[in-house]
Formats: sequence, structure tokens, C-alpha cells
Amino acid sequence: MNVFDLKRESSENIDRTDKAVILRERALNLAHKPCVAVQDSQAIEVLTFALGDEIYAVGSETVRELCSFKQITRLPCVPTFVLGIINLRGKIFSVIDLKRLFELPGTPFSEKSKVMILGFGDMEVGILADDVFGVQEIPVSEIQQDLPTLKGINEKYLYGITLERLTIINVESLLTDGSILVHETIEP
Amino acid sequence: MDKREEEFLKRLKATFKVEADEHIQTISSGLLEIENTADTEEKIRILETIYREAHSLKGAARAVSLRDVEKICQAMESVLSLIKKGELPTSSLVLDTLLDSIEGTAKLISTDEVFPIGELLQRLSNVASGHISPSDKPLQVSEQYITPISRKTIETPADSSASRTSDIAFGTGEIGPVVGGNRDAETVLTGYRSDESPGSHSSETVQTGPTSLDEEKQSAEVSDPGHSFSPDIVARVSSQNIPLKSKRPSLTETVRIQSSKLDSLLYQVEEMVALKMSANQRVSDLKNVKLKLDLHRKQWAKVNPELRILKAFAENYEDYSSKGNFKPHLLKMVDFLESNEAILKTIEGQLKALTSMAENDSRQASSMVDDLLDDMKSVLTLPSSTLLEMFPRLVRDLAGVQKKKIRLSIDGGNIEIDRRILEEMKDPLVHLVRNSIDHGLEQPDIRIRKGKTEEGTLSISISQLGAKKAEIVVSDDGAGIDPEKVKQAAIQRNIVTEQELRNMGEGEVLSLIFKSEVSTSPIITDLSGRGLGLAIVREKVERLGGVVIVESRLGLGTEFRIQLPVTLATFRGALVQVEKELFVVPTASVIRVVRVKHDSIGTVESRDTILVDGRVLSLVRLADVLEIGSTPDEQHDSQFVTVLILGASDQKIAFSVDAILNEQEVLVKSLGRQLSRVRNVSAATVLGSGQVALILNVSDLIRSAMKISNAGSLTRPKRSENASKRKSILVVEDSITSRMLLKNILESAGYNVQTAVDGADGWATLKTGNFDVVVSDIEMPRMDGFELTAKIRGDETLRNTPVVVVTSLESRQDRERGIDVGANAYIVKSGFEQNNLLSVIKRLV
Repeated sequence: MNVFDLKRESSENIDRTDKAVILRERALNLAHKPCVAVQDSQAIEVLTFALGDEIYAVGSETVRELCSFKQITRLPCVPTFVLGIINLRGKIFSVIDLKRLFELPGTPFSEKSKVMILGFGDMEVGILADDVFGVQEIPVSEIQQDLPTLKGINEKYLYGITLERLTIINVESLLTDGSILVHETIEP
Repeated sequence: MDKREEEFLKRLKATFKVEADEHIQTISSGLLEIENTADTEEKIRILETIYREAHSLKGAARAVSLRDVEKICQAMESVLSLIKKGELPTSSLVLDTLLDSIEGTAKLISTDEVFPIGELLQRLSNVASGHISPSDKPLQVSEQYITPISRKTIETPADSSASRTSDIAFGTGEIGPVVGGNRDAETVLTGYRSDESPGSHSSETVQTGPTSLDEEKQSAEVSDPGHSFSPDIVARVSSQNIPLKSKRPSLTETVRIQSSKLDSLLYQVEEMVALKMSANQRVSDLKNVKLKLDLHRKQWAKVNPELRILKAFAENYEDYSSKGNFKPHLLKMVDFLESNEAILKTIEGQLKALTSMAENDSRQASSMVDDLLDDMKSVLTLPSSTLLEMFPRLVRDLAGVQKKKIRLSIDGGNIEIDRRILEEMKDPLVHLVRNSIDHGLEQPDIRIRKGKTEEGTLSISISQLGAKKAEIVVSDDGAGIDPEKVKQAAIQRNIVTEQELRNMGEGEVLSLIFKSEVSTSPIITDLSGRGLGLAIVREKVERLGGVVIVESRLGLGTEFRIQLPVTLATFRGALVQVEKELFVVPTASVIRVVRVKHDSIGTVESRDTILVDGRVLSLVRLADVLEIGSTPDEQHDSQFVTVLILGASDQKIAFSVDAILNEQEVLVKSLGRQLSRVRNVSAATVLGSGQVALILNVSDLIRSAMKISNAGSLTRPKRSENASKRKSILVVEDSITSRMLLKNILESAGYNVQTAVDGADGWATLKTGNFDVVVSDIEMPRMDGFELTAKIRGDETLRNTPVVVVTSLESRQDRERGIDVGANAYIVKSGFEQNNLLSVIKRLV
């Protein structure tokens, strides 16, 4: 008896209720996530961009919008890392230069410069990127969280670094820890 | 945990926080209302709301697995349900415990920190177990909770006309007459009976008829609180049930929308204002073209005779010179010129039609955009109660700290005002209320001595003034403002001269308190007294396009009236150019625009000044104030300078600019969250061209300009002089941590600091050196701060040295003792802020 015969025979012998039971079992099996796969699927989605000669990334869920760097209005009386403000469909966004904030070398603007509007909670701010590459998934296992001493970037703004030397920025702490917040009054 | 799940939980928690805030706000304001309401039925209603809110909060907390919050809510619910059942009075102990619990909950939620909740839970359970069980002492319960009036009602039902239904119910002891719609009355009966004779409860229920099980359940839910109060009252509640409900808009009338969505809508509508303005711009562009064409036409008309002559000449031209025959060329040219006229005429006609169409479009767009914007603004309004609901708690806390008795009356919570205006008004209102409590309302003993009620009244009311304005009135029946003290303070601070004062009416004198640095308080505390608050109140109100007026009668009370627009309007601004950048200056702050000759600029103490209307004004370059631009001298290509005279808070300063382009309507746009406050810039706007221009903050500009002036020369600040004149401060403090902290703060602010470990040491040190200010703690070994201050005041040479007392004690007695011994400022450590201390010291040296 070959395999096909056996299969036909068994299918004939199974009545409707048994079939339902088997299908249910199969469905359950399929629905169950295999353990190994779960490990692999632990990945974060990031948007990669250039700051000077280096490549950085931010979690893609923090990117609200991407726009080309066009007319910017400079602001007087603000720290140098604030480049100015832009108008995006009627709403004003401030644009900051991470190179200045992180004390990285590099030219101010280029033709490829873009503004990424990053948001966390209520806080929204535009970040000037020298170029924006695209979205990619990075397995969590490939992100090194304990960091060697790195450039000018404060460790609290770093989420991790990948094996390809991609630096992932911790947008939450960048936006919420208050160091980019400008609140200056004039003492009378 | 899975990264995404983690993200999700984070978002969930953020949502929870928003929700929880609402619940917490409602609960705490409800608790305070209960405390202040004598009206029993109102209490029932509020209690019901609080109970519901606590329950929802518990459920929400469980969803985000905040077990501690859940536990507290659970315990609060038990206490609340006991109150509802009438087994617990709404005593201040109970309310305080509940208030503290809800505050603890708020803390738990907002800080994410682990915070020991054991004590709160214990207190709640103590309160809960302290109740008198009705089954043990049923009679006592009725004694305690049924008021004499309602008793009377029960005995003689016919007396009560308040509710026929309840009377009937009691009169007959039957449910029969009660119509199905009024279920509350049924519970009144069962509830009352169960109090009097617990055993009879079930038999009563049976009497309610076939639907009894269901109805009993429902009615128990609806009018549970009824148990704690007299039947008479409950019956009235039931009769008022419908109007009570209709007070709130039903679900179908309101829609809950995330404010961010509304904001984005508003931005888009606002963007259409730019569209409207550019449509306007197009019309005037077209009109300009038409003007040019008209000019051309005139010129054409002038040369027309010449053309005719030329034509005749060309036609008769017969000279064949050696250089060739010009006749055909000439004729062609003349023909073309003639045909031009026809073409121009056609173009002119088309241009005219186009212009009128564009005008039409622009007019239509204008009215549509304006209507849309108006509607959008009305969507963004919130009832003013959102602003007011924080005050009961604030007043209660401040009154507690100052040991004053204050009755707060709040009125007009349903006036609709733009959310952003409400937000902006929060600080000014808090300030006015604090001022009233700190300076206005007197201590109970003083009030009684003055023949006033022991309890002071503070009232905040909001009312609508016409369609577009609202008025906020903060008034108290306290001591009032002494105009003499205001005069003294104003003269002391060189704000007015005695001569000017003599010419002032009482109203004008009082309004001096809005000036920076005028304070009638004899001592500076962290609550108030530095004279800055009211100046800021005025600045904020004026920035919103409103006015603030003060009226006061010495000994009788003070009243601040703030008139505000209810929606944020566009305003008119002058567009100025500085160093190729465009800025908008609110027209309201522009006093004059003048052009002055370079050689008419004079210098006083190396500062530039100009003479306008017989007054000398200091002149600064706007570019310098804004810290932009190049060296001043390269700009002098014309012999005139354009000058804008700006005024705010009665200061006038002339600013030179490169050009003033025009005056136009501008729409205020915030700079965004990251730029929470920028010096000299208040907001941004989008011009008709789509370009973003900054709106300047005139009060900041004036302050900055004064700083530049005070630094002496416009170009180079005198650093060396500052160093040689460094002020020295003596810090007297026994705690080493505080001592180091103070030393650090003061040294980094540029002072020379010496320290002493206690009063005696401080006294010795004072004798050896020359100090400009003494900063002292109060509680110290050997000699305390009061004693030290008293000693300084008693000393020939030291008596004028300012003393700042920094302390952890916050009590009226201490503060008054501080005043008595002659301290100049009193800063409480709990509210200790670096800036606070520094600005106080700056003011004293």
C-alpha cells in the first residue's frame, strides 16, 4: 500500500466531527508561534539618516513626517543648535541641528538635506538630516546596548549601536529630558 | 517583553494618564464641593459622581496593571459607599483622608515612582472601620442623619408639599400609588423602613410587585445615597431628577474629539488665511499692472500725433540715398506701432475683466475663510469651568497654610472661551488669588476686631460681555490696597516723582501696582511681595488683547477686573526689516514711527538718544537687541534713520530699524513645544508670500534694551568694572549641605561668598568684613537667625545691611517675626528656587 492509498482510505474513514477536531488542532498548531521564530521577530524598525559622514537611526514610530529642507526662518536669541523654524501646512516646527548638539563635525546644509519631524508625546521637533536613506528592521539581538565611549554624544541619547556601526538615537530621552527645550526669560 | 508590546504598553499608559487626570480632577473638586455645600441633595449628586469616577479610575488602573492605584481606588470606593449608605458622615477627617488619597493617586500616576501606599490604605481602612454600623445601632443612625425638619415631615406627611409621591408612600405604607416612573420613591420607602426595622426589608420588597427584583436593583443603584439622608430630601431629588440630567448635554449633543485633531484642523484653516491674504495680494498685483498700462496709454496718447506725422512722412518718403531704400522699413514700423494700440486695448480689456474676477474671488474667499475661522475658533472654546476647577483646592491649601478662614465663591463656569486663552490665564489668576489670600484677606481675629465676618470671602466670577468679550473678576472683602503705601513704594523705586503723584487720581495711583517692582508688602516671601507678579499679570492679559483694572477700598476689599477676548483674534502688526530679516511688531505697542537725521542723535553717558516731542528717549538698534547683524557703522548709507518708538508697561524706548515695510493683519502661531519661551520673540506668523516672520515681544525688547543701556556702551559690555564691583554675601547656615548649595548658587551668579556655621559665628564674621547682603537660616545652634537679624538691626554700622532669611519654617508667626526683627526677605526652603533667591538678592543689593 502506498502513501496515497493510505491517505485516501483514512480520509474516507474520518467522519465530519473527527474532521472538525483535526482541523481545529491544525489551526491551533498553526496559530501557535514557534519559539525560535519569536526570537527572530524581535526587531525594531528604524529610519536611517546621515549626520555628516556618519549614519544614524531613529525608531520609525517616532518619525511623524519627512520634508525637504526649504525655507527656514532663523531665530534670534536662541542656542546655536536651534536652526530656526519652518512652516508645515500652517503649523510651525522648530528645527534643530543634531551636529551642533552632539558636537559633530560637518557642513551645515546640502542639497540632500531634509527635515525629519520627530515626535514623542506632545513634544514635536524637526531634526535636520544631511540625507535620509530609508526604513530598515534591526533584530534586537544585534543591538549593543552597553556602549564604549563615543564621540560627543551624550550616552543618555543613545539607544544602542549595531554591528554595522549604525548609531540608534533614543528619541524619547532626546525630546523629553529638557536639554533641547528653550525657555529663556529676561530678568528685569 | 516584545519591543512592540512594550511600546504599546507605553502608549496605553500615556492614554491612561490623560484619562486618570480627568477622573482625579473630578473627584478632588467633587470632594471639595461636598465640603463647602450645605445643600444635602447636591451632596448626594456629587457623591454619586465621585463614586462613579473612582470606580472608572479603578478599572482603568487595572487595565494598565497599576496595582497600587487600583488598591487605593478600591479602598476609597469602600469609604465612599459607606458615606453613600449613610454609615459615615462627611466629616473633615473623612474628606481629608479621601483628598490625600486622591492626591497620592495622582502622584503615583504622574511620577511612575514607587511610593509607599501602605499608610494611605491604612488611613482609609481606619476611616472605613470607624463607621457606625446601622445594624448595631439603628436608632442612633436615624438620630444622626435624619434632620429635625425631615423628621417632622415624616410624622406629618401632609406638611410636606415638596413631594407628593413620597408623602403618599409614607402615608399609606403601600407602593401602589407610586407610578412606575418614579422608582426613587420606592427606594425611599424601602430605605427608610430598613433603617427603622431592618427585618421588614424583604417583605416590603415583595410588595413592590412582580417586577420588583429588577426594579429594586435599579432603584437601589439610582438612589442608593438616599439611605443616608432623610426621605423628604430623597424624594425631592427624585422629583428633580429630570432637570438635573438635562443640565448636562446628552451624549448625542457632544462629541469627544482629541484636541490634537482639532489643532491640526485649526492650523489648516489658519493656513487658508494666508491663502486669503495672497488672493488679496494678487488683486493688488493686477491693479498695479493696470496702473502701468494706464501710464503707458497716457504716454501713447502723447506720442500719437508724432506717429501720424511720421506716417505721413514715411508715405511721402522718396529719397533714394546710397544707403538703400528705407521706405518699406519705415512703413512696416509705423504699421506695427499702430497695431500695438489695438493689442493694448484688448489686453487692457482682459486685464480689467481679470481684475474684477480676482477681486470677486478674493472677496468670496475672504468671507468664507473668515466664517470658517470663526466657526473653527468657536469649536476650540471650552467652558471656563476648566480654568476654575483648580481653585477650590488651591484656596483651601493656602488658607490652611496661612490659618485664614476663606469662603470661595465661584461663578460663571459655563462661559465658552478659547482653550489657549484659558491656558494662558491660569498663571495670572493663580497669582491674583494668591495675592488676595496673602495680602488681602485678614486673619480671623483681625477680621472680627474690624467688625467683619470671621470668614473672608474670595470670589472669582466669569461673565460674558457682548459676543466677543468676557470678564473675569477676582474680588475679596479683605484689607484693600492702601494708596499711600503704593505711593511710597512707587517713589522709593523711582517710578514716579512726587510732582507726578500729586497730579494723579486715585485710580491712577492704584494702577501703579501693575508696575514692576512696586509692592506694598513690607516683606518679600516666596508667595508674593516682590512686585513682579502684577506686572506679569498685566503683561499676559495685554498680550492676549485684554485689559486689567483694579479697584480697591481701604479696609473693605479689592477687586481685579480682567476683560478678555473670548477667541484668539488676528491682530495688526507692523512689518519691519532688520538685517534682511522680517519681523512683526504688534501695532498696539508702536507709539510712533519717526525718521530722524543721523546728526540729531545725541549721546548721554555714551548712550544714543533722540529727542521726540520734547522728551529724550534712549535709542537702540533693534539688531543689537536681537543679537543679530553686523557692525553699526556700515549701515549709514542714507542720512536718515527709521525709528520705531515702542512702549510697554509705561516704558518708552526708540528702536532703529532698517525699514518699515507696511502694516498688516497677522495671525499668531506658536513657536512649538520645543521653543517654550524665546527671548524677545513671542510667536511667529505666516506672511502672504508664505514666508514665516517672527512676532516680537515688546516687553522683552524693552527689558533687553534697558539691559544693553545699563551695560553702558552699546558695543562693549564693561566686564572689568563688574568684577571690581563684585558684591559680597555672608551665608549663615548650620547645615553643611545647605551651606555649600547656597555658596555654590551665589558664587556662580557672580557674588563673593563667605560662610558662617551659626548666628554667633556669623555675627563675628560680619564684624570683620564688609558685606552687601546677609543670607541666614533661622534654626541654628547658639544664635538663631531672628536673633542675628535683630542684632544686625541694632548695630550702628550694620543696620542698613539687607538680610534675607532662608528657612524651612513656613508659618505666619515666623514670617511676622521675620518682619518684626527687620528681615528684608523671607524665603521658604520648600519652595526654594535658585532664581527666586537670586532675583531677591539682586533686588536688595
